[in-house]
Amino acid sequence: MKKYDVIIIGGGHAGIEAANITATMELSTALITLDKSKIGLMSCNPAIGGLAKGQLVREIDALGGVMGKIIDQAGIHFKMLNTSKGPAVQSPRAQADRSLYARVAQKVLNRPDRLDIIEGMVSGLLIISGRAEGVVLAEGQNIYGRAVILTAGTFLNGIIHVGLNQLSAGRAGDLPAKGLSETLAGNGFRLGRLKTGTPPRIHRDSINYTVMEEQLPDEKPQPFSYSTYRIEQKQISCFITYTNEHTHAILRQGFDASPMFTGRIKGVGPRYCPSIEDKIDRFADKNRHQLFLEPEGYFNKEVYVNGFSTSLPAHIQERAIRTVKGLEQCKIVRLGYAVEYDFFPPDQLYATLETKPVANLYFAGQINGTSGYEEAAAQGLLAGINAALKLRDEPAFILKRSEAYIGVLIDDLINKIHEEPYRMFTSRAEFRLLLRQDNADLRLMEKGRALGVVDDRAYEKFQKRKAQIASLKSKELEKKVSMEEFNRFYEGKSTPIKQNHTVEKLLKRPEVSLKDLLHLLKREGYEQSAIMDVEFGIKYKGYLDRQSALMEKFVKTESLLIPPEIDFKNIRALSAEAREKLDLLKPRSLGQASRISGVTPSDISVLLVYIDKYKKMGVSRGTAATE
Amino acid sequence: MDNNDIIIAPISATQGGSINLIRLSGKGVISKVNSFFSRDILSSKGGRFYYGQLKNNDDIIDDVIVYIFKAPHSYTGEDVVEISCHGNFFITEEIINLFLDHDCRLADPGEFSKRAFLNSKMDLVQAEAVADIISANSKRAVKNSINQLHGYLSGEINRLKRQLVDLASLVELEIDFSEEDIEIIPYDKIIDALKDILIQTEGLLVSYETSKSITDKIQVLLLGKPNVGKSSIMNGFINKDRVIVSSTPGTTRDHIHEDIILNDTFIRLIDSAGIREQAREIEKEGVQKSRVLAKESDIILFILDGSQKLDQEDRRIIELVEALGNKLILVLNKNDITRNKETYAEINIKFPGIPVVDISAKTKNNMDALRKELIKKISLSTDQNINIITNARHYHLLKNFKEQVTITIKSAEQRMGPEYLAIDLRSAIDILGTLTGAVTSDEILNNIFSNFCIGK
Repeated sequence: MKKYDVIIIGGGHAGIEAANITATMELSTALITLDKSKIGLMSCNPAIGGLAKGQLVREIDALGGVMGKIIDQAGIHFKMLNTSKGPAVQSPRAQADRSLYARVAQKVLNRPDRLDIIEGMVSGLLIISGRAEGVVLAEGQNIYGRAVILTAGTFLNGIIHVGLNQLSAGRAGDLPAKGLSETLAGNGFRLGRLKTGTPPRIHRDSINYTVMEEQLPDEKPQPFSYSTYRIEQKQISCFITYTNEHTHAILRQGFDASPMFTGRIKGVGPRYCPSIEDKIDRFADKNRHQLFLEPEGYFNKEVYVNGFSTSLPAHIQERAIRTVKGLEQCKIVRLGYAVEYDFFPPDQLYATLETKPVANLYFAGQINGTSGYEEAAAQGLLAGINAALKLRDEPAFILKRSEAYIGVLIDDLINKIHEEPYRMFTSRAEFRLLLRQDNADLRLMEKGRALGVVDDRAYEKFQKRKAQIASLKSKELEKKVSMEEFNRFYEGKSTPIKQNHTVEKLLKRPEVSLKDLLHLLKREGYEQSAIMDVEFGIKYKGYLDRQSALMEKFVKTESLLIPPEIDFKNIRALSAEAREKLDLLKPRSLGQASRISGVTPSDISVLLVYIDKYKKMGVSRGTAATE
Repeated sequence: MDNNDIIIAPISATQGGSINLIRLSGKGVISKVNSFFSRDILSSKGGRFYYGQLKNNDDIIDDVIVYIFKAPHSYTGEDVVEISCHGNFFITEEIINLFLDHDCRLADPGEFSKRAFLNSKMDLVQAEAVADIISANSKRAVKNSINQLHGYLSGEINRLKRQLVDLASLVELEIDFSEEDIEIIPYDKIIDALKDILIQTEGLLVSYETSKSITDKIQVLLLGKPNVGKSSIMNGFINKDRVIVSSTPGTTRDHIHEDIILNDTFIRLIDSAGIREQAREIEKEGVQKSRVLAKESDIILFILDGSQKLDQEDRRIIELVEALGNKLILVLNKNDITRNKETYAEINIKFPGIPVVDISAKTKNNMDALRKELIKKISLSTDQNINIITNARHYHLLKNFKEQVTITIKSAEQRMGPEYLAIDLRSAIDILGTLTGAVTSDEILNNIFSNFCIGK
């Protein structure tokens, strides 16, 4: 019987990244999914990226992940968001052709040398003396592996609600995964319940687009992947329309049969992605809500009505949506629904995403209580990398909050108590100015290369970009721009200068751009991305320095590791709340401990004394992750 | 987690001695003190002391003795300077403020000990003891700071914080939810709101500067039936000690109080007489008010007529204060007339272990003993060092806060993008957070979700 290095359960966005990266890291990998043809399916809205999520995709790409490459081949409407603001908060987003996306994803995973894709339903795990050794299929067959990564999405005991009707399902049209939750509960895992929802899909030909606002894609689509040269697909538009008082009145008639309002749904839904009934209930004074009509593809007849997520009964959905401007004649192809599913509160994980109760078992994606493809993919990637490193007996790969949104994501997951699905926002990142979508490569690619997951082509391109930035900084910034040329060029746009000034000095003026100065100096051959990076560094030096100073302080406390031998329960000097939380969450570093709510600065001082005590006693300072 | 910046705190005991000791520890501390000291201590070899004047610009703050300890031969193992100044609240506070204004910071609870430990000045066995000290001190400091924050200042600071969190939410909204159908706040509105916050902050600073924090008075309640001699005793204190504010009994006040300084501690003496007289018609209400006052007070002088047998009214008050034994001083007045044996005996049985002083307010007999007893009680019920620390902390944080709000206004006026304004706002919030507890990004997101309809 063949024994794999890594077995991945689930073919969603987390599973894809996990499987791809372990295969890249030269491990024999098996991906088990219910239906091969549904690998890479976008169960929710057909879009990748968005604010903060776009940064995640760029980081995934810099670390050898595939999400960016797939969307670059499947995107049909690229748009850079927040372009009216600075580079730190801009994010790429793209609408995808759903079927194309899945096809490309499946093609990417087609690497028979190291990756087997197995159809089947996993009903249990093989756990031998606290270590994952493989999985049990529903048909009774065992598959053995040295590490198991579970990425089951919303499929664990999934229940779909439409009105007061409910059925067991992982996603509309797919069976739920049963038995796994129970196996894990039997091994000491705590379970929670969450809820999410989707809007109805309507038939494209039944929509009157002429009365709606058109949202055009960017003229020059910018790829997600550092390896993509250019976006080839034809770009198409999205449309915006609004609900009205009439729509709301009809929806209210359905409240009696709402699975949410009647208490049928026990799981907690995300507040940042509420259902339309929730919106009109909680914000009764708002007389319209924006709807974003997303095409699901070039040939796909379905259109996703973003903003109209609902689990109200079918006849209410139908009547209500037809009151919306442009949707008067629309036909619903698929009803909106809410789905409830099991998740494992992620404080049960180490920063490597390995579970605390069972060694060599990793959790990634929605089962950790996150929402979103990008959040799932990021976890899948990190779980895959860390599983591979552990099997190779190499140190764990953990990103800091100061290094990447992925670091923020995982740190938040394992150190906070979560009451709703977790989604990334830029405001969650303390070092937002430093963690930009445009510098994900500068932040991470060197690390990816060291892991062996960044291919030569991407790495060469990166080296070139780095060299350009270095050359801009060392050669061009000190150059003097002639007074005459500057004053002529910026006439009426910038206060004239009275002598020649350096590029660096002139750049401090908000209206002056590096690109134009290089043009004045007749310096050519620099790529726009390198120019932008250097310009940003100078224009916002004050803020960047402040963030860097904070970051240094942060890194310092982060590097103070807490010996795993410490028994928090027995440190009397800690407050009762800190004792309890620290014992539950078992932080690995002082920095991590300080971010746990309820742990006070005085508790941190106490811990510092204990860390030092252990250090002086010569106790090992091993990390808990590999225990 | 900076471990060699200069920290400062008063370290002497609180029992109102004539000398107060302030310790500074950290890298560069000797040259720091040198710049405010009348003598040159830069070349000091350590283990020496110097007499001179501590000066801020040309103003002499106090005649002091400065002790120099050089690393590693000091308590903390770092360079340490200890300043011995006159044991006066204002002087101590002024000296501490001087250094806080010049890049020093207040020591955290137990921080001198922590540094001592980290610099190997203590052995391993002491580690737990150090941890306990940190925890105990901080609990005391927290309690104290909560007490201080309870009331006026706390309300004001929380209000400032809420306003800022609202502004930060609006700014974050513009960044993280720009794709939503939501109205964005114009910068001019933000600037107006920030200017308003600035004015409020300035108001708080002024009130601090003029009142030196009204919250750290020790409240002493004089309790007893009418005509037992409360006002005579009060006058006895007033005549001898410095009166700060004098109030005359009037119809608008529900009790009479006098603020005095006794042994460098602010004392508010409250004569409960006013209560009863005002609420004469409704007896119950009077008792209720006494009960509240008794509970709020730090110390209660329960005054009885020692020349008489206890009566109904005395017994009612005994009932009221029975559970408050630890803040009680029993005063048997009128020992110039006679000492009623029954009363003395009964009091001793009813209040075992509680200090009893018999006096005559009329002849001033034994008033000094009462004053001593009161001072003893005061030093037990308060830790003046912590008061100084918390006061100075609040003041300095407010000053830093004001500066940061000013910077933020400037950023907004220069039309910096929301991501930069967010950093300025966060810095301001974080300053207040050290007083009221940290504000996390979750709190801001929660605020957004509860106030705006997010989510397509």
